[in-house]
Amino acid sequence: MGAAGAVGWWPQVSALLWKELRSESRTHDSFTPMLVFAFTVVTVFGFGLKLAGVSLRPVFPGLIWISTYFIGFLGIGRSFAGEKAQDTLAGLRLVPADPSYIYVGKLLSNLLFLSALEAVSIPLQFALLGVEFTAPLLPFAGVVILGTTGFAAVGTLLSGLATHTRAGEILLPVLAFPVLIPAIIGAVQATASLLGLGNALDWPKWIGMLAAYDVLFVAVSLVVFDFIMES
Amino acid sequence: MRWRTAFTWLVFLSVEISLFLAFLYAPPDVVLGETQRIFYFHVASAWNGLLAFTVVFVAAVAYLMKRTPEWDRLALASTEIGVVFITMGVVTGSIWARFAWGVWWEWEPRLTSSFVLWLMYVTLLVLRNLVEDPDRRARLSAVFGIVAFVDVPVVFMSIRWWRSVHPVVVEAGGKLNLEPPMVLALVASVISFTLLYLLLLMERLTISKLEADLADIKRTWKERTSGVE
Repeated sequence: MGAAGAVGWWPQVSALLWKELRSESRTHDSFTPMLVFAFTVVTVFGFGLKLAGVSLRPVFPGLIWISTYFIGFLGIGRSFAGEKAQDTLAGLRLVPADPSYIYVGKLLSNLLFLSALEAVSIPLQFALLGVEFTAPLLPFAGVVILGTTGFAAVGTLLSGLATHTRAGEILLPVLAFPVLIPAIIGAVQATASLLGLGNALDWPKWIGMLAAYDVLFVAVSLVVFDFIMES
Repeated sequence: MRWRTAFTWLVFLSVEISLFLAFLYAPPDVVLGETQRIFYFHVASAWNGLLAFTVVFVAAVAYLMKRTPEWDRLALASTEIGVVFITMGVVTGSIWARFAWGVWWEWEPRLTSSFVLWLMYVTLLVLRNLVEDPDRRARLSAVFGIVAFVDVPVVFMSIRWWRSVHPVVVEAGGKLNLEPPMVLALVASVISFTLLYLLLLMERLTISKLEADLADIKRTWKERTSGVE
Protein backbone atom coordinates (compact mmCIF):
# COMPACT_ATOMS: atom_id res chain seq x y z
CA MET A 1 0.00 0.00 0.00
CA GLY A 2 1.11 3.56 -0.63
CA ALA A 3 3.29 4.79 -3.46
CA ALA A 4 6.88 5.92 -2.92
CA GLY A 5 7.08 9.23 -1.08
CA ALA A 6 3.46 8.93 -0.17
CA VAL A 7 2.05 10.09 3.11
CA GLY A 8 1.08 7.23 5.41
CA TRP A 9 -1.97 5.19 4.54
CA TRP A 10 -3.47 4.77 8.00
CA PRO A 11 -3.18 8.48 8.88
CA GLN A 12 -5.23 9.17 5.73
CA VAL A 13 -7.85 6.60 6.71
CA SER A 14 -8.20 8.09 10.18
CA ALA A 15 -8.24 11.65 8.79
CA LEU A 16 -11.07 10.72 6.44
CA LEU A 17 -12.94 8.88 9.20
CA TRP A 18 -12.55 11.90 11.50
CA LYS A 19 -13.76 14.19 8.70
CA GLU A 20 -16.88 12.03 8.20
CA LEU A 21 -17.69 12.03 11.91
CA ARG A 22 -17.22 15.78 12.21
CA SER A 23 -19.23 16.49 9.09
CA GLU A 24 -22.04 14.25 10.34
CA SER A 25 -22.00 15.83 13.79
CA ARG A 26 -22.48 19.24 12.17
CA THR A 27 -24.97 18.46 9.43
CA HIS A 28 -26.85 15.39 10.76
CA ASP A 29 -27.39 14.54 7.09
CA SER A 30 -27.40 10.77 7.22
CA PHE A 31 -27.65 9.49 10.80
CA THR A 32 -30.72 11.49 11.83
CA PRO A 33 -32.85 10.43 8.83
CA MET A 34 -31.80 6.80 9.44
CA LEU A 35 -32.75 6.99 13.09
CA VAL A 36 -36.14 8.57 12.40
CA PHE A 37 -36.76 6.05 9.63
CA ALA A 38 -35.94 3.22 12.07
CA PHE A 39 -38.79 4.38 14.32
CA THR A 40 -41.06 4.74 11.29
CA VAL A 41 -40.27 1.22 10.10
CA VAL A 42 -41.12 -0.33 13.46
CA THR A 43 -44.41 1.56 13.43
CA VAL A 44 -45.16 0.39 9.90
CA PHE A 45 -44.33 -3.21 10.83
CA GLY A 46 -46.59 -2.86 13.84
CA PHE A 47 -49.56 -1.61 11.85
CA GLY A 48 -48.89 -3.75 8.82
CA LEU A 49 -48.09 -7.08 10.42
CA LYS A 50 -48.97 -7.25 14.08
CA LEU A 51 -52.52 -8.45 13.92
CA ALA A 52 -54.20 -9.34 17.18
CA GLY A 53 -52.88 -12.58 18.59
CA VAL A 54 -50.43 -13.33 15.83
CA SER A 55 -46.82 -13.82 16.90
CA LEU A 56 -44.18 -12.24 14.69
CA ARG A 57 -41.47 -14.46 16.17
CA PRO A 58 -41.20 -16.95 13.27
CA VAL A 59 -40.59 -14.16 10.74
CA PHE A 60 -38.72 -11.85 13.09
CA PRO A 61 -35.16 -12.66 11.89
CA GLY A 62 -36.23 -11.72 8.38
CA LEU A 63 -37.89 -8.52 9.62
CA ILE A 64 -34.79 -7.35 11.51
CA TRP A 65 -32.48 -7.80 8.56
CA ILE A 66 -34.77 -6.48 5.86
CA SER A 67 -35.42 -3.35 7.91
CA THR A 68 -31.74 -2.94 8.84
CA TYR A 69 -30.66 -3.14 5.21
CA PHE A 70 -33.40 -0.81 4.00
CA ILE A 71 -32.64 1.75 6.72
CA GLY A 72 -28.93 1.29 6.04
CA PHE A 73 -29.28 2.12 2.35
CA LEU A 74 -30.58 5.52 3.39
CA GLY A 75 -27.28 6.45 4.98
CA ILE A 76 -24.84 4.39 2.97
CA GLY A 77 -26.24 5.75 -0.30
CA ARG A 78 -25.07 9.19 0.78
CA SER A 79 -21.45 8.06 1.28
CA PHE A 80 -20.28 9.82 -1.84
CA ALA A 81 -23.23 12.09 -2.64
CA GLY A 82 -21.82 14.88 -0.46
CA GLU A 83 -18.38 14.59 -2.03
CA LYS A 84 -19.93 14.83 -5.46
CA ALA A 85 -22.10 17.83 -4.61
CA GLN A 86 -19.14 19.71 -3.09
CA ASP A 87 -16.73 18.52 -5.79
CA THR A 88 -14.36 17.16 -3.16
CA LEU A 89 -13.73 13.73 -4.71
CA ALA A 90 -10.90 15.19 -6.79
CA GLY A 91 -9.38 16.49 -3.55
CA LEU A 92 -9.57 13.07 -1.93
CA ARG A 93 -7.90 11.56 -4.98
CA LEU A 94 -5.09 14.12 -4.99
CA VAL A 95 -3.77 12.77 -1.70
CA PRO A 96 -0.53 10.92 -2.53
CA ALA A 97 -1.60 7.70 -0.84
CA ASP A 98 -3.10 4.50 -2.24
CA PRO A 99 -6.72 5.49 -3.10
CA SER A 100 -8.00 2.47 -1.17
CA TYR A 101 -7.78 4.73 1.89
CA ILE A 102 -10.96 6.42 0.62
CA TYR A 103 -12.82 3.09 0.58
CA VAL A 104 -11.57 2.04 4.02
CA GLY A 105 -12.29 5.46 5.56
CA LYS A 106 -15.83 5.48 4.18
CA LEU A 107 -16.39 1.83 5.13
CA LEU A 108 -15.34 2.47 8.74
CA SER A 109 -17.51 5.57 9.07
CA ASN A 110 -20.47 3.71 7.56
CA LEU A 111 -19.88 0.85 10.01
CA LEU A 112 -19.86 3.27 12.93
CA PHE A 113 -23.11 4.92 11.86
CA LEU A 114 -24.79 1.59 11.17
CA SER A 115 -23.72 0.11 14.52
CA ALA A 116 -25.00 3.18 16.37
CA LEU A 117 -28.26 2.86 14.47
CA GLU A 118 -28.63 -0.85 15.22
CA ALA A 119 -27.95 -0.27 18.91
CA VAL A 120 -31.26 1.60 18.87
CA SER A 121 -33.28 -0.04 16.11
CA ILE A 122 -32.81 -3.73 16.98
CA PRO A 123 -33.80 -3.51 20.68
CA LEU A 124 -36.65 -1.23 19.58
CA GLN A 125 -37.98 -3.88 17.21
CA PHE A 126 -37.76 -6.61 19.86
CA ALA A 127 -39.59 -4.41 22.34
CA LEU A 128 -42.30 -2.91 20.15
CA LEU A 129 -43.08 -6.03 18.14
CA GLY A 130 -43.34 -8.12 21.29
CA VAL A 131 -40.63 -10.67 20.52
CA GLU A 132 -38.73 -11.96 23.51
CA PHE A 133 -34.94 -11.79 23.23
CA THR A 134 -33.76 -15.32 23.99
CA ALA A 135 -30.49 -15.45 22.06
CA PRO A 136 -27.07 -15.71 23.72
CA LEU A 137 -25.85 -12.10 23.62
CA LEU A 138 -22.29 -12.53 22.37
CA PRO A 139 -22.99 -14.71 19.30
CA PHE A 140 -25.99 -12.48 18.50
CA ALA A 141 -23.77 -9.38 18.58
CA GLY A 142 -21.31 -11.25 16.37
CA VAL A 143 -24.00 -11.99 13.79
CA VAL A 144 -25.14 -8.36 13.83
CA ILE A 145 -21.56 -7.12 13.35
CA LEU A 146 -20.77 -9.61 10.56
CA GLY A 147 -24.07 -9.06 8.75
CA THR A 148 -23.56 -5.30 8.96
CA THR A 149 -19.95 -5.49 7.79
CA GLY A 150 -20.92 -7.43 4.66
CA PHE A 151 -23.66 -4.93 3.97
CA ALA A 152 -21.31 -1.98 4.49
CA ALA A 153 -18.52 -3.54 2.39
CA VAL A 154 -20.76 -4.06 -0.64
CA GLY A 155 -22.84 -0.93 0.03
CA THR A 156 -19.85 1.42 0.27
CA LEU A 157 -18.35 0.10 -2.97
CA LEU A 158 -21.59 0.20 -4.94
CA SER A 159 -22.55 3.56 -3.43
CA GLY A 160 -19.39 4.96 -5.03
CA LEU A 161 -20.41 3.29 -8.26
CA ALA A 162 -24.03 4.50 -8.16
CA THR A 163 -22.90 8.09 -7.50
CA HIS A 164 -21.29 8.15 -10.94
CA THR A 165 -24.46 7.11 -12.79
CA ARG A 166 -27.29 9.28 -14.03
CA ALA A 167 -29.68 7.81 -11.45
CA GLY A 168 -27.28 8.49 -8.55
CA GLU A 169 -27.82 6.98 -5.12
CA ILE A 170 -31.33 5.76 -6.00
CA LEU A 171 -29.64 3.00 -7.96
CA LEU A 172 -27.79 1.65 -4.90
CA PRO A 173 -30.44 -0.78 -3.56
CA VAL A 174 -31.04 -2.06 -7.10
CA LEU A 175 -27.33 -2.80 -7.56
CA ALA A 176 -26.65 -4.02 -4.06
CA PHE A 177 -29.53 -6.33 -3.13
CA PRO A 178 -28.77 -9.11 -5.65
CA VAL A 179 -25.12 -9.10 -4.57
CA LEU A 180 -26.17 -9.09 -0.90
CA ILE A 181 -28.38 -12.18 -1.14
CA PRO A 182 -25.79 -14.51 0.47
CA ALA A 183 -25.34 -12.02 3.33
CA ILE A 184 -29.11 -11.81 3.85
CA ILE A 185 -29.41 -15.60 3.87
CA GLY A 186 -26.50 -15.96 6.30
CA ALA A 187 -27.63 -13.21 8.66
CA VAL A 188 -31.28 -14.33 8.75
CA GLN A 189 -30.40 -18.01 9.23
CA ALA A 190 -27.87 -17.30 11.98
CA THR A 191 -30.34 -15.03 13.78
CA ALA A 192 -33.10 -17.62 13.44
CA SER A 193 -30.84 -20.33 14.83
CA LEU A 194 -29.84 -18.14 17.79
CA LEU A 195 -33.47 -17.28 18.56
CA GLY A 196 -34.30 -20.97 18.69
CA LEU A 197 -36.16 -21.02 15.39
CA GLY A 198 -34.99 -23.94 13.31
CA ASN A 199 -31.81 -25.81 14.13
CA ALA A 200 -30.18 -24.33 17.23
CA LEU A 201 -26.78 -25.74 16.24
CA ASP A 202 -26.68 -24.11 12.81
CA TRP A 203 -25.43 -20.66 13.74
CA PRO A 204 -21.64 -21.31 13.82
CA LYS A 205 -21.86 -22.49 10.20
CA TRP A 206 -23.69 -19.33 9.13
CA ILE A 207 -21.32 -17.11 11.11
CA GLY A 208 -18.46 -18.74 9.22
CA MET A 209 -20.20 -18.07 5.92
CA LEU A 210 -20.86 -14.43 6.84
CA ALA A 211 -17.22 -13.95 7.86
CA ALA A 212 -16.04 -15.45 4.56
CA TYR A 213 -18.46 -13.20 2.65
CA ASP A 214 -17.16 -10.12 4.49
CA VAL A 215 -13.50 -10.95 3.85
CA LEU A 216 -14.18 -11.71 0.19
CA PHE A 217 -16.05 -8.50 -0.52
CA VAL A 218 -13.70 -6.22 1.42
CA ALA A 219 -10.83 -7.77 -0.58
CA VAL A 220 -12.62 -7.46 -3.94
CA SER A 221 -13.64 -3.87 -3.12
CA LEU A 222 -10.05 -2.90 -2.29
CA VAL A 223 -8.97 -4.25 -5.70
CA VAL A 224 -11.68 -2.61 -7.81
CA PHE A 225 -12.43 0.57 -5.85
CA ASP A 226 -9.73 2.59 -7.59
CA PHE A 227 -11.43 2.04 -10.96
CA ILE A 228 -14.63 3.61 -9.67
CA MET A 229 -12.89 6.71 -8.38
CA GLU A 230 -11.19 7.56 -11.68
CA SER A 231 -13.81 9.91 -13.03
CA MET B 1 -17.23 -13.39 -44.64
CA ARG B 2 -17.49 -16.80 -46.27
CA TRP B 3 -16.47 -18.65 -43.11
CA ARG B 4 -19.13 -16.73 -41.14
CA THR B 5 -21.80 -18.02 -43.55
CA ALA B 6 -20.36 -21.53 -43.25
CA PHE B 7 -20.40 -21.26 -39.46
CA THR B 8 -24.01 -20.06 -39.51
CA TRP B 9 -24.97 -23.15 -41.51
CA LEU B 10 -23.04 -25.34 -39.10
CA VAL B 11 -24.96 -23.85 -36.15
CA PHE B 12 -28.25 -24.31 -38.00
CA LEU B 13 -27.41 -27.93 -38.72
CA SER B 14 -26.31 -28.72 -35.16
CA VAL B 15 -29.48 -27.14 -33.72
CA GLU B 16 -31.55 -29.27 -36.14
CA ILE B 17 -29.69 -32.40 -35.08
CA SER B 18 -30.14 -31.65 -31.38
CA LEU B 19 -33.86 -30.98 -31.96
CA PHE B 20 -34.16 -34.35 -33.66
CA LEU B 21 -32.27 -36.07 -30.84
CA ALA B 22 -34.26 -34.33 -28.11
CA PHE B 23 -37.72 -34.79 -29.63
CA LEU B 24 -37.54 -37.98 -31.68
CA TYR B 25 -34.49 -40.02 -30.83
CA ALA B 26 -34.38 -39.89 -27.03
CA PRO B 27 -37.05 -42.02 -25.33
CA PRO B 28 -39.63 -40.36 -23.06
CA ASP B 29 -38.83 -40.45 -19.36
CA VAL B 30 -40.37 -43.32 -17.38
CA VAL B 31 -41.83 -41.07 -14.69
CA LEU B 32 -42.22 -37.68 -16.36
CA GLY B 33 -43.07 -38.85 -19.87
CA GLU B 34 -42.77 -36.40 -22.75
CA THR B 35 -42.46 -33.33 -20.51
CA GLN B 36 -38.96 -34.41 -19.52
CA ARG B 37 -37.75 -33.37 -22.99
CA ILE B 38 -37.63 -29.73 -21.86
CA PHE B 39 -34.68 -30.84 -19.74
CA TYR B 40 -32.36 -30.82 -22.80
CA PHE B 41 -33.09 -27.14 -23.52
CA HIS B 42 -33.16 -26.22 -19.86
CA VAL B 43 -29.69 -27.58 -19.11
CA ALA B 44 -28.22 -26.21 -22.36
CA SER B 45 -29.63 -22.70 -21.69
CA ALA B 46 -28.51 -22.58 -18.08
CA TRP B 47 -25.04 -23.82 -19.04
CA ASN B 48 -24.76 -21.10 -21.70
CA GLY B 49 -25.82 -18.46 -19.20
CA LEU B 50 -22.94 -19.48 -16.94
CA LEU B 51 -20.54 -19.60 -19.88
CA ALA B 52 -21.63 -16.13 -21.04
CA PHE B 53 -21.17 -14.62 -17.57
CA THR B 54 -17.72 -16.18 -17.28
CA VAL B 55 -16.85 -14.43 -20.56
CA VAL B 56 -18.24 -11.16 -19.11
CA PHE B 57 -15.91 -11.54 -16.12
CA VAL B 58 -12.85 -12.23 -18.30
CA ALA B 59 -13.72 -9.32 -20.61
CA ALA B 60 -14.26 -7.02 -17.59
CA VAL B 61 -10.85 -7.85 -16.10
CA ALA B 62 -9.21 -7.47 -19.53
CA TYR B 63 -10.93 -4.12 -20.05
CA LEU B 64 -9.73 -2.71 -16.75
CA MET B 65 -6.17 -3.79 -17.59
CA LYS B 66 -6.03 -2.87 -21.28
CA ARG B 67 -8.68 -0.11 -21.58
CA THR B 68 -9.55 -0.92 -25.19
CA PRO B 69 -13.22 -0.60 -26.23
CA GLU B 70 -13.16 -4.08 -27.84
CA TRP B 71 -13.16 -5.71 -24.39
CA ASP B 72 -16.12 -3.61 -23.29
CA ARG B 73 -18.03 -4.55 -26.43
CA LEU B 74 -17.32 -8.22 -25.71
CA ALA B 75 -18.57 -7.77 -22.12
CA LEU B 76 -21.76 -6.09 -23.33
CA ALA B 77 -22.44 -8.69 -26.03
CA SER B 78 -21.92 -11.56 -23.63
CA THR B 79 -24.06 -9.95 -20.92
CA GLU B 80 -26.98 -9.51 -23.30
CA ILE B 81 -26.80 -13.03 -24.70
CA GLY B 82 -26.19 -14.48 -21.24
CA VAL B 83 -29.34 -12.77 -19.96
CA VAL B 84 -31.33 -14.28 -22.85
CA PHE B 85 -30.01 -17.78 -22.09
CA ILE B 86 -30.45 -17.54 -18.32
CA THR B 87 -33.99 -16.22 -18.88
CA MET B 88 -34.67 -19.31 -21.00
CA GLY B 89 -33.08 -21.44 -18.28
CA VAL B 90 -35.31 -19.98 -15.55
CA VAL B 91 -38.48 -20.07 -17.68
CA THR B 92 -37.94 -23.67 -18.84
CA GLY B 93 -37.06 -24.57 -15.24
CA SER B 94 -40.35 -23.07 -14.09
CA ILE B 95 -42.33 -24.93 -16.76
CA TRP B 96 -40.54 -28.14 -15.87
CA ALA B 97 -41.26 -27.57 -12.16
CA ARG B 98 -44.94 -27.27 -13.06
CA PHE B 99 -44.97 -30.77 -14.57
CA ALA B 100 -42.41 -32.49 -12.37
CA TRP B 101 -43.45 -31.04 -8.99
CA GLY B 102 -46.90 -29.61 -9.77
CA VAL B 103 -45.95 -26.00 -8.94
CA TRP B 104 -44.73 -23.17 -11.18
CA TRP B 105 -42.03 -22.18 -8.79
CA GLU B 106 -40.10 -24.20 -6.26
CA TRP B 107 -37.31 -22.63 -4.18
CA GLU B 108 -35.01 -25.36 -5.35
CA PRO B 109 -31.27 -24.46 -5.13
CA ARG B 110 -30.39 -24.49 -8.79
CA LEU B 111 -33.56 -22.75 -9.93
CA THR B 112 -33.21 -20.10 -7.23
CA SER B 113 -29.51 -19.57 -7.98
CA SER B 114 -30.28 -19.12 -11.68
CA PHE B 115 -32.91 -16.58 -10.76
CA VAL B 116 -30.44 -14.60 -8.62
CA LEU B 117 -27.97 -14.78 -11.51
CA TRP B 118 -30.64 -13.42 -13.83
CA LEU B 119 -31.30 -10.59 -11.35
CA MET B 120 -27.63 -9.61 -11.16
CA TYR B 121 -27.04 -9.47 -14.89
CA VAL B 122 -30.29 -7.68 -15.67
CA THR B 123 -29.07 -5.16 -13.09
CA LEU B 124 -25.81 -4.91 -15.01
CA LEU B 125 -27.77 -4.03 -18.16
CA VAL B 126 -29.76 -1.43 -16.22
CA LEU B 127 -26.49 0.05 -14.94
CA ARG B 128 -25.10 0.29 -18.48
CA ASN B 129 -28.12 2.33 -19.55
CA LEU B 130 -27.61 4.85 -16.77
CA VAL B 131 -24.10 6.02 -17.69
CA GLU B 132 -23.66 8.28 -20.73
CA ASP B 133 -19.91 8.59 -21.09
CA PRO B 134 -18.63 5.46 -22.92
CA ASP B 135 -15.35 5.15 -20.98
CA ARG B 136 -17.02 5.59 -17.63
CA ARG B 137 -19.80 3.17 -18.63
CA ALA B 138 -17.23 0.56 -19.61
CA ARG B 139 -15.28 1.05 -16.38
CA LEU B 140 -18.26 0.98 -14.00
CA SER B 141 -19.92 -1.97 -15.67
CA ALA B 142 -16.62 -3.86 -15.65
CA VAL B 143 -16.42 -3.32 -11.89
CA PHE B 144 -19.99 -4.55 -11.40
CA GLY B 145 -19.34 -7.49 -13.75
CA ILE B 146 -16.43 -8.54 -11.54
CA VAL B 147 -18.36 -8.08 -8.28
CA ALA B 148 -21.33 -10.06 -9.64
CA PHE B 149 -19.19 -12.92 -10.90
CA VAL B 150 -17.26 -13.23 -7.63
CA ASP B 151 -20.66 -13.47 -5.93
CA VAL B 152 -21.87 -16.37 -8.10
CA PRO B 153 -20.20 -19.25 -6.18
CA VAL B 154 -21.18 -17.65 -2.85
CA VAL B 155 -24.79 -17.38 -4.01
CA PHE B 156 -24.82 -21.02 -5.12
CA MET B 157 -23.30 -22.25 -1.87
CA SER B 158 -25.44 -20.12 0.44
CA ILE B 159 -28.67 -21.07 -1.33
CA ARG B 160 -27.72 -24.75 -1.16
CA TRP B 161 -27.12 -24.46 2.59
CA TRP B 162 -30.24 -22.38 3.04
CA ARG B 163 -32.32 -25.00 1.24
CA SER B 164 -30.90 -27.79 3.35
CA VAL B 165 -32.20 -26.23 6.58
CA HIS B 166 -35.71 -25.98 5.19
CA PRO B 167 -37.90 -29.04 4.82
CA VAL B 168 -38.24 -29.87 1.15
CA VAL B 169 -41.94 -30.08 0.33
CA VAL B 170 -41.49 -31.56 -3.10
CA GLU B 171 -38.49 -33.78 -3.56
CA ALA B 172 -36.59 -33.27 -6.81
CA GLY B 173 -38.62 -35.38 -9.25
CA GLY B 174 -37.07 -38.84 -8.98
CA LYS B 175 -33.35 -38.88 -9.74
CA LEU B 176 -32.97 -38.78 -13.48
CA ASN B 177 -31.54 -42.01 -14.69
CA LEU B 178 -30.30 -41.02 -18.08
CA GLU B 179 -30.21 -43.70 -20.73
CA PRO B 180 -27.47 -43.49 -23.40
CA PRO B 181 -29.79 -41.91 -26.04
CA MET B 182 -30.76 -39.27 -23.47
CA VAL B 183 -27.13 -38.51 -22.70
CA LEU B 184 -26.47 -38.13 -26.41
CA ALA B 185 -29.40 -35.73 -26.81
CA LEU B 186 -28.20 -33.72 -23.81
CA VAL B 187 -24.62 -33.48 -25.09
CA ALA B 188 -25.89 -32.48 -28.55
CA SER B 189 -28.12 -29.76 -27.07
CA VAL B 190 -25.30 -28.34 -24.98
CA ILE B 191 -22.92 -28.31 -27.96
CA SER B 192 -25.43 -26.78 -30.38
CA PHE B 193 -26.48 -24.10 -27.87
CA THR B 194 -22.82 -23.27 -27.24
CA LEU B 195 -22.26 -22.88 -30.98
CA LEU B 196 -25.38 -20.71 -31.11
CA TYR B 197 -23.93 -18.58 -28.31
CA LEU B 198 -20.71 -18.12 -30.30
CA LEU B 199 -22.63 -17.16 -33.43
CA LEU B 200 -24.81 -14.64 -31.57
CA LEU B 201 -21.69 -13.25 -29.90
CA MET B 202 -19.98 -12.70 -33.25
CA GLU B 203 -23.07 -11.06 -34.71
CA ARG B 204 -23.48 -8.80 -31.69
CA LEU B 205 -19.80 -7.80 -31.82
CA THR B 206 -20.15 -6.89 -35.49
CA ILE B 207 -23.14 -4.68 -34.68
CA SER B 208 -21.29 -3.04 -31.77
CA LYS B 209 -18.31 -2.34 -34.01
CA LEU B 210 -20.60 -0.74 -36.60
CA GLU B 211 -22.30 1.32 -33.90
CA ALA B 212 -18.94 2.53 -32.63
CA ASP B 213 -17.78 3.38 -36.15
CA LEU B 214 -21.00 5.28 -36.81
CA ALA B 215 -20.58 7.26 -33.59
CA ASP B 216 -17.03 8.12 -34.69
CA ILE B 217 -18.20 9.28 -38.10
CA LYS B 218 -20.92 11.42 -36.54
CA ARG B 219 -18.43 12.99 -34.13
CA THR B 220 -15.97 13.77 -36.92
CA TRP B 221 -18.78 15.22 -39.01
CA LYS B 222 -19.88 17.46 -36.13
CA GLU B 223 -16.33 18.67 -35.54
CA ARG B 224 -15.83 19.48 -39.23
CA THR B 225 -19.14 21.29 -39.66
CA SER B 226 -18.78 23.24 -36.42
CA GLY B 227 -15.30 24.30 -37.60
CA VAL B 228 -16.85 25.82 -40.72
CA GLU B 229 -19.09 28.22 -38.83
